[in-house]
Amino acid sequence: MDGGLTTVTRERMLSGGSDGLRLQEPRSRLRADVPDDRAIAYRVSLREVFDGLRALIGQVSGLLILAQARRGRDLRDMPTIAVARERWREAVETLGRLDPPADRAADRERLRLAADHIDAVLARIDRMRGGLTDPDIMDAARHLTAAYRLLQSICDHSIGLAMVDLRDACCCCGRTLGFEGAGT
Amino acid sequence: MTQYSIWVLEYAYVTKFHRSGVLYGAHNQGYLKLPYCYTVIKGNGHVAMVDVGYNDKDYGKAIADGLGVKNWHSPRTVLAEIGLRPEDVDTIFISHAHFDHFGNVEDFPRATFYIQEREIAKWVWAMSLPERMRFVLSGIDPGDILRGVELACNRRLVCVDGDCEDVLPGIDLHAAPDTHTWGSMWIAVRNDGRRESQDVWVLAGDLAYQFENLGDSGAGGAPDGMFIPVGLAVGSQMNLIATTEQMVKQVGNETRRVIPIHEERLRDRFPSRITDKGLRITEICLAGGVRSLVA
Repeated sequence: MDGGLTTVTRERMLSGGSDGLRLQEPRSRLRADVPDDRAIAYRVSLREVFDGLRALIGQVSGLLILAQARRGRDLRDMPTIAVARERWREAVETLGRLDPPADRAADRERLRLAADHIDAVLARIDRMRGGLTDPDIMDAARHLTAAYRLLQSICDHSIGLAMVDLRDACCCCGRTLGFEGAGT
Repeated sequence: MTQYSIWVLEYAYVTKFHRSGVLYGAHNQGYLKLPYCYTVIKGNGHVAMVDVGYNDKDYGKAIADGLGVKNWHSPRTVLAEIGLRPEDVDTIFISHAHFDHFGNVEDFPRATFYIQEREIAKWVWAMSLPERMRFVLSGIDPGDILRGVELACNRRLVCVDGDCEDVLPGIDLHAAPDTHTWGSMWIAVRNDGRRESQDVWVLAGDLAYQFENLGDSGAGGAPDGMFIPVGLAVGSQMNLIATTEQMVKQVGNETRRVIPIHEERLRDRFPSRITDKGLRITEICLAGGVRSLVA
């Protein structure tokens, strides 16, 4: 048994149908096609960190725009700042547990650097008094841009690591990749 | 005298877009071609645009390969078809912050951008929601918001709070909160410059994708069918319907004057031509004394 499925049933599902001939595919090939448990756990955690940091970049960027638009308003009063800090903590905790395969070890370091850049911006917002100045905002934008580029460097659309999330848009129509139609 | 010329410029397209994405509830009704366009408004000493498309450099290939968007061309190539360069554009109205509308601000180095403040504020809020609620973030690239920060610092991003008259002479912005997105807006061009204009064009952004959204079965006159909301909204269908009513009233019930930019059949209603890149240029109207660029 394997997760409640018999080996035959599991292979039937993996082969995509009930065609008896497909069940004759070499087991080694099937196993090569299917990630092992460690790889799956890694991808799930990686996605969690990636999505969290990506959302933080957008969230904090938006706050900086609003800070510029609403001169003098203290960003520390905005409830989303507390949420951002909490999300950052969660992402870093998950990052600490990340156990990448050897060929993906660089991912973890890039994510760590991205998290550091975001932390620098959040810390600056925490320290500010009387609103952010333009140089403050530009410096924050540089950190966020660096974080964005780091995330971009590990994008892998085959496992949903993408800077634009279109997975659940109407345009996606329940499909992930290789379909026609894009969000508008 | 007519003040502005208006062109809808196709910069890419999807050949097979499911119809239910365009018309709410149109399930299992097949596919249609969906052009990706932006709009140029030229006159009164200004070159303005509604939306800027997306930036193919960063993630265009992923979009093209994964989502079926084809034949993307840069603003420099597309605008050249009407004798303009990106540097000529001084004003840009962002109808909403989805990647295919707000995703290429860096190609317009001299423009001032207008966006609803609510669009930014609510995306900030949405990005703070738990991952399981990520549906509401579909189509948003944090990088686009990030580029907005630099625009804001350079005083090139104006966050508008609600309706705004005469942003340029005779051009008004109308907020459509909680519709297609949190802070969508539509643009009205009063082309005779009068307050009670008899020559209004409405540029609908994604508040309408196609004629059917406007209750227009093809005649282009007063609505002869019911309004049908677009297939994607983070707001409500009711708000979309109410906004459609406002847009249609603004043009005196002449639905042909509400321009849905994802509508392939604009070619049947307005003069147009296909460029050597295979993209369509549609001429909505011409300012006084301006010659056609599609004839």
